[in-house]
Amino acid sequence: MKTFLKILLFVVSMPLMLVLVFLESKYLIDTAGSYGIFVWGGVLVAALVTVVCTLTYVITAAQAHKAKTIKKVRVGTAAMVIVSLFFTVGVWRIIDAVLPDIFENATDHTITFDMIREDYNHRADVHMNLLNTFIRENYANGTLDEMSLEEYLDEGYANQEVRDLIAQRFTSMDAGGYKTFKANGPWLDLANSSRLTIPTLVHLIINERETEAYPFYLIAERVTYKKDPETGAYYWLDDQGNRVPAKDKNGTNIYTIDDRSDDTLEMVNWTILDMQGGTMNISLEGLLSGLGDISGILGTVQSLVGNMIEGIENALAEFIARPEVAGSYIFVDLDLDKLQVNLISTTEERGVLGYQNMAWFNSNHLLLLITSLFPARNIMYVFGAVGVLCSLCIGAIRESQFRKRKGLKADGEEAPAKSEGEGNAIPVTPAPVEEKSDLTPYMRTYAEAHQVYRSHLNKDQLNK
Amino acid sequence: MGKLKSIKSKMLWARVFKLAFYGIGFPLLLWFLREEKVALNGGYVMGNSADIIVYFGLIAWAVVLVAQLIAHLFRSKRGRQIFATAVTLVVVLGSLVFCDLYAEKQIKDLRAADDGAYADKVATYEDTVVKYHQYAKDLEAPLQHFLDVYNIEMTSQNKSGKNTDGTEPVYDTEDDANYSPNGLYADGYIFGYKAAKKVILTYYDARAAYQKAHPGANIDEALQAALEAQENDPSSSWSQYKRTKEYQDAYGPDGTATKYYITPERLDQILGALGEVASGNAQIGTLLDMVPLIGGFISGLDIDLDAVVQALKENLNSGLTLAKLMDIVAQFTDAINEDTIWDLVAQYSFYQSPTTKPAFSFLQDKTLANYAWAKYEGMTHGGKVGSILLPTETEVDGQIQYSKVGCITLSESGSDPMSESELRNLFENYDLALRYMPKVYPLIGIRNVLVLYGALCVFGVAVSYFFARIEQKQLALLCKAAKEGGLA
Repeated sequence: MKTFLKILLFVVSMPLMLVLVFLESKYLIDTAGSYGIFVWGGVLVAALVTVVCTLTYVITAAQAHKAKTIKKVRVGTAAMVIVSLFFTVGVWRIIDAVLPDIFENATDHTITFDMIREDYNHRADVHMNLLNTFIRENYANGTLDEMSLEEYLDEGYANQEVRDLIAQRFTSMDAGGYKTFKANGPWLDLANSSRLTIPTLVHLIINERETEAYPFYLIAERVTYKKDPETGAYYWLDDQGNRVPAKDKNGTNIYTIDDRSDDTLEMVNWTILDMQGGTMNISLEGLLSGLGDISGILGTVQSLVGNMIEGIENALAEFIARPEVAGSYIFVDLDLDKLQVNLISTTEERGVLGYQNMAWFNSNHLLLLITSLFPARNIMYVFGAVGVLCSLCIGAIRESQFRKRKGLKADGEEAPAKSEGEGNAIPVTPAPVEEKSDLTPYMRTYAEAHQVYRSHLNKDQLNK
Repeated sequence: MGKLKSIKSKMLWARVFKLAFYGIGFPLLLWFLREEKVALNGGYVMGNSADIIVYFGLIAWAVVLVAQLIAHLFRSKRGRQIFATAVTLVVVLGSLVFCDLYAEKQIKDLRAADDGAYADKVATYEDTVVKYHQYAKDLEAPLQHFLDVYNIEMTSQNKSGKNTDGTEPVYDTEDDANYSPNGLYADGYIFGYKAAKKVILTYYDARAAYQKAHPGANIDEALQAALEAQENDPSSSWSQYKRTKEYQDAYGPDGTATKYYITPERLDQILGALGEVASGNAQIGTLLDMVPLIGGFISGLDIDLDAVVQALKENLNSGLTLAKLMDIVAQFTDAINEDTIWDLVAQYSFYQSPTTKPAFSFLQDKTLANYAWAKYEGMTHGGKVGSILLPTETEVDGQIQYSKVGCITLSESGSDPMSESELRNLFENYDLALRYMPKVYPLIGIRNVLVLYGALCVFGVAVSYFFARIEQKQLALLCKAAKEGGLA
């Protein structure tokens, strides 16, 4: 019965903790399963702790069984308490102390420790949404074209093509964008800290940057190759039905490809709007307010040029893309109804997210690894206390079994040793306190009284 | 057994009381001191200066502990009690008297300083010891309002560290400012309190000084005239400086600064690109054809738009430049010329090289030079980093109107500026507060805690010794009874 109780007590400590950590991590594992081992961080840590505690339990159980003195049994109990406390509360106290700074510096403070400490499932959702958006955009623009969208979404990060694409996209934005802005003075930092003034924006657009342009892989046009049965070379037919040889990225004729889209390389000089991603809306109301009521004029303008706006917008985008101006496209949308100009980045067109999202995205596996630790956090903190309690109970049972085995009484301290050197019973006769000359008078009085008192208790016990 | 129980019980109670009274000695005093520290600390005026209150408590306790260790050498138990109590009393009372006298002297000296200039702004000592918590917090709200209006923080920041051209600014601890090699604030420098105060006061002081020296004159017009004069004078220091290598390295052909603003050459390139794109776009061509028609709807417009459009179309595809554009415009109006355009462009796209001195630093009139410096830093630099410190003034119907200041960005429209008197008052009060509050208020805090709880602390130490003696007496009785076999 006692053995069963001991096992039960052990099971409700660390193994139960492992089960609970797994259940708490399940949402994250299910959501971001395509990241493989990276979303199992918390479960792995809990499993490791369980293994260590199980080993401690087994070793101390063997020691307790062979123990000749109750002290050895107690040492085993203390070891179990310390191990279970250190590997749960201790480990997390260390993580809590060390991880926030490292983590926040690694993410440029875009994700804080507090954001993932409790809200880890939401972070998993955010990062998986990024992945799904990325796949959808690149499927829509034809870059991912070897499988169906559903298959890409199902495979997610596990798909090698997707993984390579993420790395390449991020490298391009990092080298041809972020690094060039960061090397170009304070303007990007000002924009990122809610100080995007007009002069700052102008600097971000017109400053000459040392662009380390990186080849950017973008499908310009979808064509179907055909194989020349004689030469084995691939070609495609243009609008006039002429044969155009299929060429690889270096311009060499292709002989060994399957039927897939042509690839083009684009050198991208990412603009500040691409760094931000999405669309920037600039209201013209304030600008035009000085002109009084202009609704009549606007109505006339719209009726006259409404059908030409698209062409003008394209011209503006062409103008901005000229090397003399921004060197890359910013699409312009004039919304006369709302009296605003919408500046649209190329992120969606090029199948990327804003730089911050791409930076997260590129390290998504590491972010998810850290995030996956947090479902284990609170459970391990709580099971630190549970583990201590269970260890003490197990220790008490072991002591009880030890006494039974040795035929000792259960209450108070042990009975006197059966033979010299065995056991740690307290001697009945007190040692002469006067011999301890290094004690102060106050301490000597205490020691004297203590010994007298202990002797009395033993005598009292023996007299029962 | 009854005797044993009685001794044990007395020993237990003696021990409990000994600990309880020890607890109401220094531990309780330390807790009150900590409460005082928490109440005083925080904010821009006090900062963490009240930490000293807790340090005082710890040091005082340590001194008494050392005294207690020394007291153990005494044979007499009563002697130990008296010695420890006396030392505690001296520490508590001595600290109280010191804090009281020192703080009072500081306040009185300050009130008497500069012929009593601060007598109205610094409360009397008697008043201060009662309301110092409130006084310490009084300045926080206006100071926070100032920081919010001008979109700055108490201490400065320097975004990205380096300047745009790669030069390294130098940080001056005294000024809390990052200076470029030319002595101006660094490109990414965001003012802290000290720098903002310096810019604002320089601006208003220069205006006041100029007004005093030239009653009725307009300092902005004088500055403009002085800058134009030195610009047009080939022998001026400024003109000579522009010919130096230092200046030419920055603003000459392929200069270090020319990559960061729209130069005349670059504007022509941009206009050329615009012309090429526009001339190749059918919709723009159609739109240009419609301009005269749309212009007809705008009342009071007496420009021959047909001729403008025709001239523009002719130039679009032949390398449009600013000069060509201005030639067209000049046919119809003289209100817009190249200078007008450059003034406009310079507002948003001028880069002051961190390695060259600005034109205003060559002005002979130091008042004007200071005024120009303050305007440059407060308006131009502040406008770049989103912390405009100085408003522009416009006279509308005889009323002076002030532009917004602070955070003017693409999404924020800034705040109404504080008036000169508000600002001067704030700076004066805050600087005055910094002179004495962080130094004196913690001492007043210690004094007040000691007044209230010092005696309790001395009492606690004394009584804990009393109960320690009772405990020891019971121990001795226990020993004696045990040796005599009375416990068996």
